Amino acid sequence: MADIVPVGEGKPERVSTRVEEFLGISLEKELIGIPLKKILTISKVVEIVDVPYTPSYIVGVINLRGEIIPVLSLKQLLRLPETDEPTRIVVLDSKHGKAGSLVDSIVGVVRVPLEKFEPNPMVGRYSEFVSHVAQTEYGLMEILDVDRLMDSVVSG
Amino acid sequence: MINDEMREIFNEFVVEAEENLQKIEENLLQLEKDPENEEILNATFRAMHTLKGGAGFLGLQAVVEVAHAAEDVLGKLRSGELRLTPDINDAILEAVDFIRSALPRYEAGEEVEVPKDIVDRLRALERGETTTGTGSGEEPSLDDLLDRYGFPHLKGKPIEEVLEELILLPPEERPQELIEELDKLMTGGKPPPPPPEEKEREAERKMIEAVQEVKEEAGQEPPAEEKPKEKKEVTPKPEGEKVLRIDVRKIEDLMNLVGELVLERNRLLRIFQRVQEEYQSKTIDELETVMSSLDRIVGDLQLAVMKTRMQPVKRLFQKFPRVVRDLARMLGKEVELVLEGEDAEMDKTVLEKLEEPLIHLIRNAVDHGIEPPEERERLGKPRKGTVKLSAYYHGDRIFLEVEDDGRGIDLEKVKQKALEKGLITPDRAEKMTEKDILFLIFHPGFSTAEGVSRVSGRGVGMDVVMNAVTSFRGTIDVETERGRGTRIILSFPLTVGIIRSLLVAVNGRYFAIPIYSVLEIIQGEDAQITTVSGKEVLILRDLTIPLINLGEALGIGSERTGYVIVSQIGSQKVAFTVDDLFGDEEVVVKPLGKIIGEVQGISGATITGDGKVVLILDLDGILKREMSGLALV
Repeated sequence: MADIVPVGEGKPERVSTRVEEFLGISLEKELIGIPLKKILTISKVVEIVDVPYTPSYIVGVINLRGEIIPVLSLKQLLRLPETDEPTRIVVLDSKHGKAGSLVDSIVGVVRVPLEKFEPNPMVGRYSEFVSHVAQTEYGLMEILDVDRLMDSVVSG
Repeated sequence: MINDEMREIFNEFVVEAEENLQKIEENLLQLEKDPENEEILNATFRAMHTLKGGAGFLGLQAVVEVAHAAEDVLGKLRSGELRLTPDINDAILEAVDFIRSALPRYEAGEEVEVPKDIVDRLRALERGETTTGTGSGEEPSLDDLLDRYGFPHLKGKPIEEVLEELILLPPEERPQELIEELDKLMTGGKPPPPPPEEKEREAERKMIEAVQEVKEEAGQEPPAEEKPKEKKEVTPKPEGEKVLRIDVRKIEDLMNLVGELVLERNRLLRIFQRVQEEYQSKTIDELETVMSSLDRIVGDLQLAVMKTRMQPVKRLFQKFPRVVRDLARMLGKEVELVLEGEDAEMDKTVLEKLEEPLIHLIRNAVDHGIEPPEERERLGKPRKGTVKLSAYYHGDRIFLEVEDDGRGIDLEKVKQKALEKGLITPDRAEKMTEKDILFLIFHPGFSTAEGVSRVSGRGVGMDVVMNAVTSFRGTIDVETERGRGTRIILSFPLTVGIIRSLLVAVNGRYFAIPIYSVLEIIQGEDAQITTVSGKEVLILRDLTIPLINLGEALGIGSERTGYVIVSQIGSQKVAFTVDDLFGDEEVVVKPLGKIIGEVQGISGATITGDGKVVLILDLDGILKREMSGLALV
């Protein structure tokens, strides 16, 4: 984008090339970006065992190579409708340990230059978990703040 | 301030310092009984010296100064220039407490000021002065102290109650400095601030008298009895014990890997069985030999990894001599704490959670069990009471006992109290056996009468002990004899990681129920079920047992009542209905993950041989939910 003039104290001959990498996922047709460094693995939807006495956004637990991993409903946490069928479980690493999230499909790795970041214009709804938005080759991507999301899950 | 390069050295220093502090504390308590023991004196001096050196290297000035002053006092004790008195012991213990509390503050990057009062007091003692005061002229009042340390809600209480309250706090919250200050207030020259009520004033005076009495006792020549035995116990271990420190997370990773390995082995065994059925050849026979040794090795490996989580109970026990000493001083009693079987090992996670329940049991033994010295003399018992804390193995369980030679539990009184509180009906009281009555002390409603007077909202009763014990699949038993004493026996499975469980099905879903809580199983059609005020109960012989439909309790419904499982939960029998039953199996307990955390009613999950996740139920928790009417989320 030639019309973007880099500002700042960086050397002028080098345009800021700092980019962040995200895993683009689709949730009810919305494109959501999860920082790649937070992703441990992606799995098909295996049998999820429901855990009684837990809130509904905790879908249950799965066996991931001998380890019990809780699975969350990202749609419920982001207050999205639940019409499309999830096909993958993305396992995230957070400061509260590992957690799987049901997603409809994987879009791919999306690289976003830092200057494309815009603060989330939305207020209310799930905006607290979406730190920024960015225009990408796949359309507008909402960037998920994983730790914040997990904080709110843990504090109930 | 600790910078990043120093961080690693600092962390090592902290671990080492904590060990040294522990050693010093143990030695000082030992020296109280045996002040002439040079070996212990030398070891104490060396430990303090090492501590000072390490702190000096890292530039922890406050620690250096305190340790230095304490070391000088210890030096004079060693050379015979000073004789160990309770005052000196108190001052060094105070130094130990200060250093212990300073370490986390350094770690957090805080500035720590040199505690002038502690250093001054040590210096004065070193010069041979017999001051008990803080050295700084002004004694703060009780209320000031409570304010300063953040316990304003304790204001207005007699000092003895305040002290007791503080000693009962969990160790990490226990304000050791404040306790020392209060100790000083009570023993020190200046009278404590006048409390508002006459009654309290009297209690306080009694307290001070009692404490002074103890101090006089302690000042006398120690009795010669038992000396050789004690000497043997404190012989320092050969240096360089083969111990390696490992991050717990690494062991957990190892546990997970072994768990996977066990699952794969199980699969392999099943596949092999099929192969064996389908084909026959020499090679398959050979394979069988390999399979069976592989099976055994994996089993041994699993056990070996489990064992790395085991720690000697000494780690827990070593905290108690101080608790007993402080409590006995405060209550004006003479108590000897005897520790036995400190080398027995148990699972680290259980060990850590047992500190508070054990403190409670020990406190009960000292407070309610052991009589005051005068009374003991009248009864023809030795003045000094004994509390024995022991650990031993039996079968696949480890036992912990707290035993005292005090007055025992008055069953009649227990019964009366339970009647007054409406915990039992007079009719029921008639029929109760001694054991039944004894177990009333674990009833949640039982100990609240004492609890109410203790603030801070912690209902410290025996029911708390019971809960902690049962949460680790432990059992609890009480034996008591009037005038002879009481013994509380706790037992735990050796490896909490693996439990034998009953596999059940409810509405097509599988669950595991730990077998230790199952008393008996009844076929659905044989069970006599009726209703009492709209709730289902099971009639079993002459007992009426509350019946819980497990499917409904779990919110998944049930298809039929195939079996009724009668379980023992604490002192209560409860029956649960399930659809189907599939025998028992050893299962490896895994947590549900931090995101879910602890769920009352579900104690974890396990992965079966075919890779399925099965939840492990905690019947105690389910019962609690049912009783409190906690609806499903």
